[in-house]
Amino acid sequence: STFKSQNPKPVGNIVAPTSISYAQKLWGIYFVLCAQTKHSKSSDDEAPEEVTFEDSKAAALRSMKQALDTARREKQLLKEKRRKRQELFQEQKKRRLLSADVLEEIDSASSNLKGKYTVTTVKERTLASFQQQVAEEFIRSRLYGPGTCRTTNNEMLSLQNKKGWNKSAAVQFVKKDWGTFRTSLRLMTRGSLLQLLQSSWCNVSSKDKKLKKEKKKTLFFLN
Amino acid sequence: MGEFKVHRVRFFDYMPSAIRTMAFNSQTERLAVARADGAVEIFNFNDNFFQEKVIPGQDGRATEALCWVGHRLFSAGLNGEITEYDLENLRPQYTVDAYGGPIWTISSNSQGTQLAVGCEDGTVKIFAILEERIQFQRNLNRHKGRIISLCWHPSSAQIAAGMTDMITIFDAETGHATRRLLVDRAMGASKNKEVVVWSVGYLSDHTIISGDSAGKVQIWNGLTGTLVRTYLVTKWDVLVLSVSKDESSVIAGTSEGTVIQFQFISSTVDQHDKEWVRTRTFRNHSHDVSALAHTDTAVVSGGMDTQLVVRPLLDKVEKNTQESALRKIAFPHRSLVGCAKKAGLLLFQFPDHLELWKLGESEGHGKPGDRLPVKRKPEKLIELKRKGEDHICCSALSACGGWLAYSTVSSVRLYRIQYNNTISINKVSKLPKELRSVHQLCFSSDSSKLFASSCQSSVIVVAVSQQECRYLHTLKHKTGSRQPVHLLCASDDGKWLATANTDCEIHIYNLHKMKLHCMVPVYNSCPTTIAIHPVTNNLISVHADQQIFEFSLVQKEYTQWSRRLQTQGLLSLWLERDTPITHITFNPKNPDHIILHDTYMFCIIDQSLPFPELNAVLWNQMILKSLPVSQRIGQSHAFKICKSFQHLMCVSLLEDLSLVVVERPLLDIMSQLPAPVRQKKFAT
Repeated sequence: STFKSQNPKPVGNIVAPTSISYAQKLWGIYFVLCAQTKHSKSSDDEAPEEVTFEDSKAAALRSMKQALDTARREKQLLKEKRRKRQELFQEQKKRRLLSADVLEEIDSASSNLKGKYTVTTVKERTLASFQQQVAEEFIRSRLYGPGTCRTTNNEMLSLQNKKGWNKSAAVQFVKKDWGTFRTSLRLMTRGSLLQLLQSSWCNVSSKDKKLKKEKKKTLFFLN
Repeated sequence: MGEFKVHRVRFFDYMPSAIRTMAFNSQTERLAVARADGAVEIFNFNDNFFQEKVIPGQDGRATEALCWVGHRLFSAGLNGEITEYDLENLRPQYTVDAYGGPIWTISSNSQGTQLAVGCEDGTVKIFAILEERIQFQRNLNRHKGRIISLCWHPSSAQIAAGMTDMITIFDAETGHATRRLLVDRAMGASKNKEVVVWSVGYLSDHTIISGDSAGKVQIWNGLTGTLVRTYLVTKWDVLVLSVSKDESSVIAGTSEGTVIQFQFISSTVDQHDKEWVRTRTFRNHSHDVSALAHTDTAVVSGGMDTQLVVRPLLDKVEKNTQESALRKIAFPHRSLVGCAKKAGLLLFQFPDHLELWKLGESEGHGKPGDRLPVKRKPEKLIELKRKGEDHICCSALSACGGWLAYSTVSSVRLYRIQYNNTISINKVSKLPKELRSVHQLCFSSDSSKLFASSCQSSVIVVAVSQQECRYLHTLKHKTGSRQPVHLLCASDDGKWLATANTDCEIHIYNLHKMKLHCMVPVYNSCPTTIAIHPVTNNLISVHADQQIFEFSLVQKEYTQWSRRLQTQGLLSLWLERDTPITHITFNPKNPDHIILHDTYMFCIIDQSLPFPELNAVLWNQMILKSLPVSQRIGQSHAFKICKSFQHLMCVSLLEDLSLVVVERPLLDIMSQLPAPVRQKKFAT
């Protein structure tokens, strides 16, 4: 029959089958069609059914298109599922990151405070103060956010020592976090402290983010 | 001269606040500087850059811009309010909410009739400046995106507003945007990052100069809306611009800490084809420069490193003179340390709290330069946090250590401290209603009275006792000066009280009669510190131009010693110092000694010794010891200066004759500043 000699041609813009199931389906259709035509020939004396080439071609194309559509839909569903999973992971990561930051700050702050702090609940933020915090965050992110290429005071002073007239050793080279902005936590105003605790800080190095325990989030105020 | 046991104190964690913005008033030669904590400081450029006035800050004020209108000072901040300051009473006079969200910039037109503010919601709001207040007039057309900077055209007809990715020129009359200048984003990787126009300048010939976050300074033709020239000056942001009054020079401050000057000059001699050319680069800061002022003779800059730098332009002043020296003002021009001499206690004043410390003890003796072993460490006894949003303006500790007082712009608080086995502090609840708007506080030496300077240079006297705080009297002067009192001191015998105000007037009050005794002849430089000698009752005053006077309170005239000093003149090394004397104290054992200090040295003036020559060179101990005896006697003069301790916040002499030296090394301050930019240096 005409079908046997024909190879299935690619339909539309699907160039090549990518998944095994799709290819299998395609060949499956072919075999089914062959079986159908074969089956139609099984009664010996009857003449074969008048199936025009056009009709069978159309039928084959239709089923191929169906298979392709199903395959495409499945792909889309899979993609959607993958995307949702990725978003969930990122959300979880962000949540984890945030509490790590808070804990890091608390750890360094608590050693300075030595019992002179009180824990209070956050006051109801009015619209005006929220806008002010957004504005302050804008400045902070433009000047100190990612991509702003900043260093620490320690490094800057050490470079000055190295390049100065009287060359000397790096400033506090043993204590690596001396001269980073984190040590000035208690000198900030309440508003900016709140902001710092709630946003990720660019100076936090990658190794600080790996904190194993999950602790409860608390906000410390100096007053 | 004498040996002293020195308590070397480095536990005062004084931390200045970053300079956010500044404005220069060329009429009065005053510079107003606003800090990140909301404080406003006024510097007198006519009087050796003395920090005349300090208006304390407030939580949440977040000042972003300052503006002078005649003698009036306005500020605007991220709290959405415009504040006018009362410079006579050192506090905000009133605030007006602009209802546009956080305010980023404020500027007045050249006639001083209108104020324009740039708001977060994208509007430029115009306020009319009236006699005692400002009144909202109208909004210019609203645009999408916050208005970060603005500048009036000198004709007051147009306003140029810097926003994100563009500069909009508004017609001030109709409010319509007439032109939009599109600013290019940064090249390379930052193509996706919006460019913020941090500052604009508008010149009379309709040239617009802009500084943006991509590090460019651009010159535009405001009439045609075309870009004339671009200068890429830094990899980081250009945060601020300032145009000189004659519009021939523009300075730009960057995040790198540099200040770049552009001048409108011609490359040829005939002066016809003038153009804007980059000329000088000043590197006087380690951190971001966020505030600039261009005076006629100098470039004034300030930023995140908290230091105010005045750089005179060498083509405007005479070279190699005092006038052309670089000035860096890093510490306040008033004392933040109180010392209870009898009790050996120190009071540290911070904007948001006070700390009371007990000095440590050591044992044994040693040679000069030895470090004695510490028997008992210094101890923080009390940390007292202020109530409310207003920052602490002044504080005082009584000599016995039993009374502590502080004031903000809104209230005064008095505390009784008791030292039994434990320290207890109790607030005195009912204070006299006369005690409000207090600028300076001082206890009498017997701790029975509290003196508080109030409005119009008057002084409130209240009696403090175990049971209550009772109003006694108000001391007033007769000159009619409305300027605030910035110095207050009482004599040891309890008879005299001296006050000094920013009109350079020093008044003496007789406390036994509770009335004005006399006024010291006005010297045209503002006094930076005054003190009354415990034995002779002479008033010693040191002024911003480093002159020293001694006035006899009993005789109501300058003393012989003071007249001799003025006739001879002070040695030039003394007059060339660039930080003011902030504290005077005396030696109980030797009445001839006057001990004073500035940021870099402390000095003991011996009134029994002759004055040094005008051009005398001060030798250190090592060299003096190596001189032959006859020469050494010749070098023995009245001024004994010690530079071993820096940077000095306070030098005081306790009753047990040990010296207390409170140091705050600049390195400790620098280590706590925000992050500087990362500069790639060759071979590092």
